[in-house]
Amino acid sequence: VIGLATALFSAGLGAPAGDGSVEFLGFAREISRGWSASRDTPAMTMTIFARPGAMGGGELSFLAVRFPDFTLRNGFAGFIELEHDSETSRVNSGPMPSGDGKILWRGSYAYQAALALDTLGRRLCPDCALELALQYRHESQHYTGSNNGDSGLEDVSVQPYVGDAVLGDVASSQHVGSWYFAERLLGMWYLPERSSYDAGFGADLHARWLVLPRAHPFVSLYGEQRFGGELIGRHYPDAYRLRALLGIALPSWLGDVLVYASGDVGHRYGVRILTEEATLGLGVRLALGTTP
Amino acid sequence: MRRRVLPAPLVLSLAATGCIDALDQEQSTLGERTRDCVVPLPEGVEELGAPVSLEYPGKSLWLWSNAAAFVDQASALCSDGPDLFRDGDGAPTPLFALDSDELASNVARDDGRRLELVAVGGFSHEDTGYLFYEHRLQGPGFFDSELLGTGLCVLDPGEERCERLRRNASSVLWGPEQRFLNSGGVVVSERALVFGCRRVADFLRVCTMTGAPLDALTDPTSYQPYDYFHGWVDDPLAASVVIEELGSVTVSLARDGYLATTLDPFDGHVYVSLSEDLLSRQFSRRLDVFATPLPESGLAIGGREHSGLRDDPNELHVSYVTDRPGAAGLHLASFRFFGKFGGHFQ
Repeated sequence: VIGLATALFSAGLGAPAGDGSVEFLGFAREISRGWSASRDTPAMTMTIFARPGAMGGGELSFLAVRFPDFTLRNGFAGFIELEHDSETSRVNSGPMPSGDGKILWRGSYAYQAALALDTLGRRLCPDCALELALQYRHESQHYTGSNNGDSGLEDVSVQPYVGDAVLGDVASSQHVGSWYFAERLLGMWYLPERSSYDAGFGADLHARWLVLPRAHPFVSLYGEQRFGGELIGRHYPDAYRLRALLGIALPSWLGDVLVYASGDVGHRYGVRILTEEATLGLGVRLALGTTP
Repeated sequence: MRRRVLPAPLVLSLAATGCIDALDQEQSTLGERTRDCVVPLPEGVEELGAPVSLEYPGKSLWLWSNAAAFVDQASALCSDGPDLFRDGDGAPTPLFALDSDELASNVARDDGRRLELVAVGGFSHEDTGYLFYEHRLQGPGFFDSELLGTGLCVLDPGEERCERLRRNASSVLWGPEQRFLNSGGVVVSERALVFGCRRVADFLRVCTMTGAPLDALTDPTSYQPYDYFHGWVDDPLAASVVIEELGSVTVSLARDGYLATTLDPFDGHVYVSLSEDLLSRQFSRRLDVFATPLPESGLAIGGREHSGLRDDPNELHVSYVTDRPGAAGLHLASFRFFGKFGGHFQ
């Protein structure tokens, strides 16, 4: 990743600045991840139900270099997510949804490179896009102590540690009539001795109806399976997640405001990964990236 | 302009938001239980309680109040039971017993009390066993018990009776608060380390460490408590606390340090704690290893760990007693840690 970043910087800084082939800050990908139903999507998010939660996050490219047939981007993705351990039960000042119990949180950062195959995508269909991406990602999970001095959570050292992983994905998008589709397949490889998991895979589908220019009804589906491994002499079970978002995307030149209802089945996140549950919820996300 | 409405599924979903349905709670594991057998009763024995033990390389000496046996194979113990020491008539014999003067004194008492000798644990060195035992005045009530002091009984190689050491004609070598030696020990380098636990408050039982040079194991004055700050000291109340547990504690050598095993009397779970260096730090927080069925009385019994039965460093063998229907009796549970357990101390 560092080598690729160096090459990109070299190529970018050496190229003429005004010919449009080099862009510094920009979207991290040709096909945005911001619409994904995955809760690992790095984006500004407020979860109102089932549990109150908030995520500060995003992903952007440091540098994009456009070649005749493809575009290379390297960038950074990261988030910090707070989530109450209990269901939403009240509204705090702010206003923000809130609940009882401890606040769990997790943080993630990733360095990534994305290769958009522009020409190959257009060969598939005039509005098609095709993109490969590779990222080195870290995630750790924590919980807050009490402001009142009383004890925190129970011992959570038995919970899986997501740790460090290399993730690769391939994504495509296309227009079909007044519909826009984006699909993504993910492969996950967790570094030995750095995670409670060995490997995993996932699939992502986003479909939106473009019939109205200012409001796109959409549905996003996400599923993943992680295979548990051994870390420091402790063996961890597999984990899976299935999630669907159904809502309205309010588009702009920068991205979308997504207002959605969600349905989840599978393992929780953070220090509660060993808990399997099904939930229905409601949330709002500010997603970077636009539909072509 | 044509009116549009939200899709029906969206409306239904919004109406049903805020719902959490718990499906399952999974566990991460340190390894797998490979055995949990009811130990068969030997001939002529109606009941076997939870044993105290001395751990030798490759074998374990199990001790009951009126019987003793070497155990060297967990599988053989589960299939055949312990091969008890027996006298010429075939009756089980204990490792040690009251001498004639003590027996006569018990007979002469008229206060309902009697002297009993209770084995509490020890260690082995060069095939010689060093067993600490308590002198207790029991009675008149069932729960009445007064600790008079602690003695040491030495079992020479090949023998089935140990010799109770005496000092100034008394086998009480340490007074009740003089040294705490009731939780077994290990030999490390040039010293035997003996652990002792005592109740200091409701639901608080602390364990300290006492050491003796290997060339003076039979000298009561050579046993000194250990303090992290000042080293070997004379005041037993100055000793550092190495672990706090309500159940029995067994300390053994582990691959990268020391392992303390306990059976929690209230939840029946076997826990282990780790220490890289007993001379500089306490045992770690405890890790839940496996559960045993609580007796119907409600409190778990036993919990000694028998390192002498390990075939490899990743094994843990624990004895316990339960009266659960269908599984009543003395149990031996074996557990195998995953390969890297103990490689990192948490």
